[in-house]
Order: sequence, then structure tokens, then C-alpha cells
Amino acid sequence: MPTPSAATTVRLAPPASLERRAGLLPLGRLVAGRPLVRLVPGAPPGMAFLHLQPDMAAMAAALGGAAPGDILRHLAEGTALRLLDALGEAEGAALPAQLRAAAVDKAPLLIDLPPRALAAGAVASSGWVASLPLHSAADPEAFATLAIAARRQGWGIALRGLTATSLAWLHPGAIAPDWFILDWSEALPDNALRSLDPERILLTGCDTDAALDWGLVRNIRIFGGAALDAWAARPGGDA
Amino acid sequence: MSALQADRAVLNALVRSPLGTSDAVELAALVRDTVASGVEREMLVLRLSALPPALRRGHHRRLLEAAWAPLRSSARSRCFDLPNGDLCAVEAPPAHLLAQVRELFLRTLDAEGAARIIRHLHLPAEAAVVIAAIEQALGLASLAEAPPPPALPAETFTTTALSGAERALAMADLSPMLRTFWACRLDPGGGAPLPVWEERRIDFAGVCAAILPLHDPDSAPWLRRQLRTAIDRRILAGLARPDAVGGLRTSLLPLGIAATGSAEFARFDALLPAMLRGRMAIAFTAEEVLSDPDAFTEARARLRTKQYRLALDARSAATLALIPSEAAGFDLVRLAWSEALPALGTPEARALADALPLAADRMVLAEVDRPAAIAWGWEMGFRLFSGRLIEKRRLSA
Repeated sequence: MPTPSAATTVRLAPPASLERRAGLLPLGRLVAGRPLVRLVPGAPPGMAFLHLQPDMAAMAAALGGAAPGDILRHLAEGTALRLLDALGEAEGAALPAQLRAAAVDKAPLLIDLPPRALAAGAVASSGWVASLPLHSAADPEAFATLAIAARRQGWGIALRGLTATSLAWLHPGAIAPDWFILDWSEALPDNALRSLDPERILLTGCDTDAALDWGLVRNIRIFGGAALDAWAARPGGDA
Repeated sequence: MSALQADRAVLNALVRSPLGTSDAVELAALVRDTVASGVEREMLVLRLSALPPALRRGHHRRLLEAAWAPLRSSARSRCFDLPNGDLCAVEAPPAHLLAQVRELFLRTLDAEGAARIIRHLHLPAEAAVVIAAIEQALGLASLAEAPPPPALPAETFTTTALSGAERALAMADLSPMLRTFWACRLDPGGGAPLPVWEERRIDFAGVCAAILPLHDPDSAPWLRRQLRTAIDRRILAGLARPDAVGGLRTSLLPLGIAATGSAEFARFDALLPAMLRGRMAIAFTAEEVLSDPDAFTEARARLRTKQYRLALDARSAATLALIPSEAAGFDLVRLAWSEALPALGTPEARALADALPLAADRMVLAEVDRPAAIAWGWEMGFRLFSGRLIEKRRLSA
């Protein structure tokens, strides 16, 4: 991606804030796009979503310092908002090359967003799902209100941050997003899944076939992780 | 729950309130009895508190009192002097005396003035209006009103602003912004509030107004969290002194998760006598817990090993359904009262009652600012209360 000439002049103005430095980094370096794949026994795998996430490790590396976690998460929110703006541009002109094809093909997107992006009234294209952080559900009533407003703007709603740790004491049945994003691990407790409809689960972090089997047995149909990255990257593209 | 039952709950709380002067309490009891029995009464309220101060004194005051006097001397009517200076008179229908005095006022005052200070009410139909007037007279309504919102800071919170705020924090004196109040045991029909534990809570908005005057902390939630950690560490540094620790009693300390892993917390912990540790509850908000469940799980293990108690700070009934407090390892639930909590008798209220701890000494209804909250809390099984109203009752008891 060509560096805009304005960047050089801005960089001369001391001291550049972290937000400004992060804002000058190309989006392609800060956003990861990974496939979520629908696996149905007896049918060929199909692309369910392209999952777009600010890449915190890439941000930390690019800034070249040990920023506290909250600062990195703050900057990641800025990246997500930039990404949302870029997705809104015609023909994906402002998008990094690797995401432009998905935008032009109108692929279903799952986008990690801060709740304030939706509170500000961002409009979704068809098939877009906003993945919201776990803490946005701290008040389930407020979460439901936000979800209603967002659905009116075309968004599907997913809740991320469900892990073996949080599901050990969380009761996700108290909230009703369209999708629950579960991060797979061997410690994922079965009783936490009992209150969830498996068809609404997106199982990420599936790095092994064992993880896929674990999900398939429980009637989960959509998977992400290293085991699926390889499938999408195979010659012939994303089915 | 019907409106009538709701009124009755408020009335019960008012009648038992040690805040009320005897007249206010008697009036509340009278209203309650008319609601309970359906007996009709007419009521005249003279809102002297609505008059400009000049008209409340001297000559004007004597004229108003003279016009009111027949209601005081007659056996047919009953008068009540409310603490804010307002006067009430009650008479059984057809209430001729009440009508005469009202006519007298309407003739003497201009229409606008009359509308402002004279009210004619019918009981029990307008019991809610009367109760609101009593609450206002007791100063409870003004307590319940939110403080005026400060002028909204315009600028977006940035890391640069955060650095500035952290520098300002290093030099700021937080002690005026540290609120100390008590959670008290309050039983239906029981006596004065019995202090049970002390809560030390920082006025976060006040601190932000001082150290971050131009920015809106809510515009960048993660930076707000980082600032909250810095503020918590300052508070802990203040507590980590022998004299401060010596002054601690059974306490509830609201903290961010990161602060409990800080060097300041370690110093505080080292100074705290072992016996006091089991009487310290560290309170985390639901949002804080969900912002970093791994850090919460780790902090929970560390704090419990050291015998601290853990409290869940919840602002919504539904939060307790999402985070079942006992399964999540909380010893206490601190629920902030608000009008948004479910009305008694609804399925939502029953679900909340199921989600609350089974023991009354493990849950506190906080931010109680009006008697209706106490009435609601009692019905839901709360016996511990905190907030401005409780503080006022404790100090006046």
C-alpha cells in the first residue's frame, strides 16, 4: 500500500500520539481476516464468514514498545473503527488488498467492533455481523437494547470472549445475540453449552481435528482456527 | 403489582422512617389508612415552601396563617405541619370548611400564585400525589433527584490526554473525593439503622472533572479503565500507611482488577492485620469482571487465598442472571437500586429473587435515596442497605 505523502509531514510534528502513529500504519498490517467455515457431515465445506479482527500482536510489534494491555485494546478499537470506515467506501478502495476481494464479492463478514461503533449508528451491508466484546453484555438489558438498534441498521450480533475460563461461571443463556463465539479448548465445560443452541455457536480456535470433532459431535456447524485456515488457503480459493 | 400496592409499600417505608417529623409520619399513616380502607378524605395543601422567601415572613406570613387558622381550630379538620413549612389539612367530605378556606385563598391571591401554592386533593384517589408531596417536604425528593449533569466535555479521550491526567493525578489530593458511608442493617419495623460495614468509594466523575477537565472519559473505555487503575493505586497508596490501616473497620473497597495486583495493593496487604483481612470485601463491577475474565479468575484466586471477601457490584437485575454470583465466587452482592429494577410481583422480580444469594447478610441494596427503595428491598429479602438516605437516617438516629 503506498504511503500517503501527508504521513511524512505529520510524523515530523512532535510528539506524535500513539493514536496518530497507529492511524498511519496500513490497515493491512493491523487487521487479520480469517475464514469461518461451515462443516456439515456429508456436504462440502463452505465459507460461512470472513472474520475481521484487529491484530493486537501486530499493533504491539508495529509500535515497537511494551504498551499496557488496555492501551493496546484502545488502539485496537481505533483500528476497528478505521476498518469500518474503509468497508463503507465504494469498491473497497480504502481496504487492504487482501480484504478487497471479500468486500467486492459481498462476502458475509464477522467484524470485531467496539459497542460504541454501533451506538454511533453505523449501517451494515447485507450479511455483516458485529462481534461485540463480552463486557458489552455486563448489563444484559442494555445489550439487548443495543442489539435491537443495531439490527435495525442491518447488523447481526455476535458475542465474543466466551472461553473455558469465562464459561466456568458465566450463564450465557441470559443474553440473546444471534451468534455466540466460543474459543475452543479442551477445558470448555459441557454444562455451559447446554443453554446454547449449537446452531448459533461459532467455534473458533480449532487448531486440531480433535477440536473439530468435539464441535461436530455437539452439532456445532461453523468453525474457525488453524485447521480451517489451511482449508481456505488451499489452491482454488474459498469455495 | 398494582399502583395501590406500590403506594402502600412507599407509605409503609415512610411511616417507619425516622426521618419524618411526627406530623409527616402521621400524615403518611393517615394516607395509608385511607388507601387501605377506601375511606374518602379531602385535602388542602398550602405549599408555603413554594413562596419567595420575602412572602414567607412577617406581614404576609401572618395573613396566610390567619386564613389557615379556621382549619387548625375546627374539630372537623386535622392539620399537619410538614418540615419544609408546607401545611396540610384533611377533612371528611363534603368538607365545607376546607372549601371555604380554599375560596378565601383563591380570592386573595392572583390566579398564578394560587395555582402555585394551593392544591386540593382527594384521597385515596390521589394518594400518590400526597406521598410525593410528603417526600418532597421531607427533602427526600430532592435527594432522589440526580445532581445536575456537568457541562459535557467536548474532546475525545486520547492516550496523550491520559498521560496528562496521570501527571495531574500524581499531584491531586483525592481525599475530598473519597466518600465513606455505611451499609446498615434495617429490618421492617425495626429501629435505627445498624451500621454493618463501611464503604469507601471514590467519586470517579469528580476526580475526572479535576484531572481530565476537557475530555470525556467515556469516549475511550479502555483508557478510562487505565485511568481508573491509576486512581485506585493512588487510593491504595493512601491506605497503605499504618495510621490509615489502623482506622479501617469492616469495609468494602471497590477496586479495578488490575489494582489488586499492583505494588500499592501488596503494601496495603502487608500492613493489614490478618484478622482484618477477612473483614475486607473487594468489590468488582460486572463490566470489570467481563472485561478480562482471565485476570478476574486469577485475582479471585489470589484474593481468596489471602482471606479477602469478594463482592459483585451490579447495576441491573439481569446482570445477576448472567453472572450467578455464587458460581462466580462472590461472597457478597451489591445491587444498586434504581427505578429500572423489576416491580414487585413481576416474573422479573421473582427471577431476581432467585438469582440473589440465599442469605440476607450476603446482599446489600445500595444507592438507596428514597423510602420506596427500602420498601422494595425488604420485599425482595434485603436487610442491608446503603446510600444517601441510609446515611441520613444513620446520622439522625
